[in-house]
Amino acid sequence: MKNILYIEDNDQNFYLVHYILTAQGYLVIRARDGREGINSAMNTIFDLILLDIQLPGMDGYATARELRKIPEVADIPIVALTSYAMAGDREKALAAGCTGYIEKPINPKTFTEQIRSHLHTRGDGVEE
Amino acid sequence: MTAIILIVDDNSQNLYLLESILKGYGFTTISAKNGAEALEIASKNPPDLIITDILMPVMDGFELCRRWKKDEQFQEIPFIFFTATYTDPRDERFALSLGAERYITKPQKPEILIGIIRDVLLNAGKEVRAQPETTFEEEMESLREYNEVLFRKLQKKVKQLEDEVVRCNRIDESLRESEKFLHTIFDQIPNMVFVKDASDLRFVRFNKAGEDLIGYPRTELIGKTDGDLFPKEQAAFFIGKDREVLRNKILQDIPEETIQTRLLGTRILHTKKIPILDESETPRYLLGISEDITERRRAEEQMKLTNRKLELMTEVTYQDIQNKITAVRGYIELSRKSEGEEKCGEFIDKETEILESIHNLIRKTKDYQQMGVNISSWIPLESMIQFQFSQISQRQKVSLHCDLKGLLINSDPLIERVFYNIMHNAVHHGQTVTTISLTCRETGEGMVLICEDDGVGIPDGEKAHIFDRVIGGKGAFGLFFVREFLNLAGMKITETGLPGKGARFEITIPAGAYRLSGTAGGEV
Repeated sequence: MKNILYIEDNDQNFYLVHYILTAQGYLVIRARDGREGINSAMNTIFDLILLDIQLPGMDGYATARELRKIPEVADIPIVALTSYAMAGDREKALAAGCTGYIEKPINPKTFTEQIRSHLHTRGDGVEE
Repeated sequence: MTAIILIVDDNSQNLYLLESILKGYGFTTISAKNGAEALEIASKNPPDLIITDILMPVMDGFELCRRWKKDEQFQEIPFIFFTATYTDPRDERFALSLGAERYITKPQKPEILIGIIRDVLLNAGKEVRAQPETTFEEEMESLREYNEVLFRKLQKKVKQLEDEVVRCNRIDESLRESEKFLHTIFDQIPNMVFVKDASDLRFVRFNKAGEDLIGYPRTELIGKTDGDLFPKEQAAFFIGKDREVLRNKILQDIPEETIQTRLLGTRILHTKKIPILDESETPRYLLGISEDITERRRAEEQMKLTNRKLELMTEVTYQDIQNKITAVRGYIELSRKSEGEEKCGEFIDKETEILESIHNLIRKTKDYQQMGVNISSWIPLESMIQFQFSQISQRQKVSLHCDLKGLLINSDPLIERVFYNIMHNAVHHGQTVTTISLTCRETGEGMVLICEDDGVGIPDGEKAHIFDRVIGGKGAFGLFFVREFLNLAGMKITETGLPGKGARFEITIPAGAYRLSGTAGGEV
């Protein structure tokens, strides 16, 4: 079973993603803001971190930068959820240490496939 | 039946994390916030395995483990320490010396953690780590180690907290930076922007444009209410609108409201009020944006006045030309019927004269257009009235007594049409009229001009309607124009004659719109 940490403040967004990924056999753990996300990442090594960019307080970019400072997170894919309308989001997300991005609103039909492809991008080459 | 696992951690986020993982892998979980709570819960509901953090208030993980492994009810239940990163190897040794089955460091991959838990559950009871009887010296040594481990742990925690403080300071700084940026924007907005607390409607924010408009520095505005700053009625109006916005929770547009300012007098504002709601939809603040539209409103009023005057002038000119054309037609008819050349020549002279006056009228219209109708100048009343009187065609001889020497009126030149119309009516409808006289007297309200004749006057039945736009006769139209024009100029006109004894009009000119010069009156 793959474990995903999803850092998201919005309940509706979380439940949708949780529903889609749980149905596909993923274990989805939630963090409600950047600080919670960082705490969770220091406690558990996830297979992938899904990060909403528009977070209250510490925003997604700052969260990504802090996450990358944790040695165990170095090789874990961090996927940013960016808003389609915000043109600069993607570049900023990549610059902050994200390995990729998925545009919001998410498409339930292709979302799992997108997650799967990002899981394969992990740097340590470990595949199960 | 799934295994029940007791999770002990004082951090609720960590509890949630571990619970989610264990549940995700099919375990049942119960939780406790510290060692003491764990013992209490376990005694009522013994788990199949306990997994605990070390540093916790009330009772830490080490003490919990010591008691757990000494308690006959629990000692066979596997005990796992799950603790933060980079722990000292001595910590692990000490933890295991207390009888714990495993010592797992964070962070850990869930599948590895689950693997260990399953393994430990499988071997539960098989590898009972019976606690040997300890000597006093051993007990002392254990306590000493315990102290050391705790000290190291606490040192690390302090270091973590220090790092956290540094990080918070950094965030603080970037927040201050962003606050400064937003404040600059807020302050630069050229309209007044203010924020009130929704609970007591006191001002909490004011921008630069707001200070300039109200006339006080924001240090004197913050904390005040409308009642402190504005006249009672205005304050009541503002507060009423505020309450409405907060109650309805939607933006309200107030197209026009007046406000008394300290330095700029009364101003007219176009205001938008917006409720600022919190997450539970409760109004917290009221945001107001006000644009000072005083100048625009004045210009609009001016424009309206000008338009109205233009309209009037057009109507007057139209009416005049119409009348003159009727007269020309009459003379043409007469000249056609007349036999003598002499008589014919006389009619042609009249026709030429009328055509000339039509021409003058059109030229004057052009003049008005060019000079703009709202330009006022000081006009000597007597000479102007005498000239207008000379323009009126007369069948019988009517004389004019004008006693207005030295009286000047500040008015649109169009005012000459007022006197032309009044005198024209006297000459043409006064029937028995022989004299028109103009006098004036000063009253508390201003200068009153009296224009009276000795004709038949206006019958009681018609008095109420003489200023109406349309009443039968063609000449009556003139009085509608007269009153309209005088109203626009801030003057009043009333008819005070007695039927049978002549018409009498009183025109009141407000102070400032007239002055006396030369011999008459003597007042300047």
